[in-house]
Amino acid sequence: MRLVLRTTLWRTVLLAAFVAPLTLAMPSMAQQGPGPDCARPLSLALHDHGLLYSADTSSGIDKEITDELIRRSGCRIHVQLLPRARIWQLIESGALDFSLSGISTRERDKFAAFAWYFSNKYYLLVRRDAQVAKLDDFERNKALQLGVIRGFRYSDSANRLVDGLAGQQRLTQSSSGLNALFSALMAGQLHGMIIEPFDYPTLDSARIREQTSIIEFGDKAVPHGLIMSRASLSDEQRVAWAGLIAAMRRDGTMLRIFEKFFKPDLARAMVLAE
Amino acid sequence: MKHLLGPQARWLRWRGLPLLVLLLTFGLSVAYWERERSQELAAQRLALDTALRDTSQRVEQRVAAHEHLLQGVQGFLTAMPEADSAALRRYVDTLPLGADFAGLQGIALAERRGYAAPLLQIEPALPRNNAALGLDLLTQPAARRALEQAQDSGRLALSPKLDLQQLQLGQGPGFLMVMPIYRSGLPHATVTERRANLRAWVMAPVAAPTLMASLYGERPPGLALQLYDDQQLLEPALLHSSGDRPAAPLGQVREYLVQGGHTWTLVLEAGPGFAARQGLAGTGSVLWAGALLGLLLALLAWLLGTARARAQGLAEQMTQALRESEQRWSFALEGAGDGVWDWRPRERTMSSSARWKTIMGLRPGRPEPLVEELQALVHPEDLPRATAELQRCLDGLVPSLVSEFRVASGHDGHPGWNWVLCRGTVVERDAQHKPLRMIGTLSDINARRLSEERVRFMALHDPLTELANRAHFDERMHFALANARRYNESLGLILLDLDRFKPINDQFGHAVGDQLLQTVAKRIKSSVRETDTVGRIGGDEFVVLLTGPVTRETAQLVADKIFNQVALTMELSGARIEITCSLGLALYPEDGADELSLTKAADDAMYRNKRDGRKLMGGSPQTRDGYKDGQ
Repeated sequence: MRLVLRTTLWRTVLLAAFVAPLTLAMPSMAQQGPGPDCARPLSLALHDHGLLYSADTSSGIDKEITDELIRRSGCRIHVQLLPRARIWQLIESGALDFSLSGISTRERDKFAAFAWYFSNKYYLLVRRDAQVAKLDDFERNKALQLGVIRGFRYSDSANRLVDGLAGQQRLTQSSSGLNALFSALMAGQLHGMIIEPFDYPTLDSARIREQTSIIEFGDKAVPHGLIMSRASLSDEQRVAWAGLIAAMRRDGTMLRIFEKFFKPDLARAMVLAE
Repeated sequence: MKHLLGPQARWLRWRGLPLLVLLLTFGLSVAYWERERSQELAAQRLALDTALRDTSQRVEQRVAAHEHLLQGVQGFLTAMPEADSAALRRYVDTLPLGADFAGLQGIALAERRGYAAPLLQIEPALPRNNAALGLDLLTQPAARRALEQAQDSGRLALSPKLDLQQLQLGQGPGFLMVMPIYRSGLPHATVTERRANLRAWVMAPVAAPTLMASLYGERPPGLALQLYDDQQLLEPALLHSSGDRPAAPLGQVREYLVQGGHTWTLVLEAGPGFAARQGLAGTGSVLWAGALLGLLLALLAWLLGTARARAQGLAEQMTQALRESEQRWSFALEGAGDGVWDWRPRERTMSSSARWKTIMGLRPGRPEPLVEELQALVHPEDLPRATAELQRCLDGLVPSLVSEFRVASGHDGHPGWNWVLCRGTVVERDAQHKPLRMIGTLSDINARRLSEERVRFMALHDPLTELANRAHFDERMHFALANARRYNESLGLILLDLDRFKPINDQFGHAVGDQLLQTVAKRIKSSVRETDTVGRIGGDEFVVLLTGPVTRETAQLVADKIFNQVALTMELSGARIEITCSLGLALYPEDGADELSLTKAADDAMYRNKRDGRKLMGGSPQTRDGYKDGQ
């Protein structure tokens, strides 16, 4: 499962993604406190997204973290696979307690709390025949279509690009997973898509590398974390669950999980130190 | 500078400003149209995106409902590994398979038997479903793919598009929803464990058209929906299509629906009906309205910008027309010999033509005269009348001035008076009806007046001698008698007849005779007072009326003086001629009380003298005595 990057270009790009400063102010909920309340069955949804979770193999980083949370909390957690957009709807309504590897936005902060455990940057993957050397080129060429996963948000520059293209009807969405977008990109139905390190296994294909290039957004690395519904979990419970995540970071569990899927230096760059 | 800027300013007013307004309005209209169109397109895109999101979520929810159904069967068989076909039938019979699960053709169970996966049971046990029992699904590539994916993932897997009728699993195009059932108590955390411990698959053949027809909510009018299996939008991959596909879609959106590890592509196309339904088909009129508004504003700008110039042009045109009219009028009047004048009484200013000055006896090139100067030019006898006539016109008592008077004509060194006819009318008055402007003409009528006076003179006088003729003399005598009666005064009447005039006329000719008569007339005239009247009442007969205080003595003196003057030798055409006359004198009231009696008395006296004293002609006392006898 580890990536083996064959070209110097790709190694440079991928390493650069994780060398960014990772000084993040962690929420106070990460402090030690009472454990999670397991009085009721809890619900957690995974979404199909590269190394985070693969529906084809029912494995991935999020699956590992889920299993570890279940183990540490001792709670009964019903895990299901859902589209990312559906997950956010359910988190907001309180019908779903948890999800993983989410990033915050001003809107999401109103209904969800986060317990960070890693960060990464976003990149624009474009077809070489689209003649795109920088972000502006993609925005200017109105013939170019960008593929995104419904419900996904990214770093600031990436969000600006997505929002701008949405107004021009230049987005093609996928309900879940990047595979459909990769296929469309290779078929020429799309000209670009936004990727994260979890998508590297897919990139580890000579055909894709021959036909695509990567453009940096230039934003800081964006923290990802456990998503907790404010509607279904009390403040104390959210602190307790955040405590579990902090403990996993602290005792090295989180790093070990990431090292299963990434090379050690990349894993260390991604996982947030406690 | 003004000369240079003039044409530019004119061009700016006449063309530049309207053009600028037109372009500006068009520009704003286009900008507004672009903005409205952009907003309309954005709203249309938003509506289309919203419809896409709603539709995809409804499809996901419907597939999720079917998935939950399969999860129930999966849980039942996992929890009860000993359950037989009857137990499964009873379980399925308890499921609320109704409209909420439209498209579901049944619940089927296929068992893993080495490299085969025969269908063991299909519920409900309909004849249609029973025909497929025993079918090895692994021999069907599409079904096999779903079975293997479900086995490896442990989750729901969807097959590619299938012909359900061909597999005898239902009708129409559809797909299989497959979930794995692993052996109880054995691990299936990894792919290897799942492959090793798979026991069976529970699956549901689903008819795609029925599934799509049962979606919650309404499809917005004007939208065409297509659901393709996979990401290639090819006709063989079409699972479902609804709505009329527009020939030229206003917009098309697509979304990849990842269901059970399989990707569908949902496509929505918006036709004109969709835009109209969203109230998004109204920007076209903006351009037309903008164009019309631009033209109207440009016209208004042209009208405003050129109003002054056009007014000036019109005024110049009118002024020019007036000037030409005045010139024509003036020329016509000047051509007729009349002078033209324009007088403003309040300003005491006057303007006049050269002809007017000439008629008025003024030098043509001199400045306009003052009113006082003009008054000095008018004959003193005519001035009061002329002034009164002018005042009547100024006061509005008469519509126009018509006045004849004499003006001095001595500018050329020959003093005299000329008759002129002044016509005029007041053309402008103030609110109090005071005259502000008066215009008129001046005609030289001197020749006419002289001619009229000559005619009148000739009617009353003898043309040869210019003495009063009989009619005029009778009138004067009638008047003098009436006057004498009224004031008890006396009159004297002298009749005179030339002696032997006919022989002279015959001897020297009528021309000499006429000269003789003219000489005699002058001598008689020179012998009487200015107030006396001398007339010629026959070929060689003359008459003298003596008015004023007259006595027989004074009258006799006049008669003697006439006799002596006539008797003087006269040189006529080289001939020395002497002639005498016979006179008869009568006095009023002594010799007659009226014209007839008075004349008869004078006539009688003259004939007595002629009969008695012709031989005494030459001024002898006898003659005078004889003359006296005639009394």
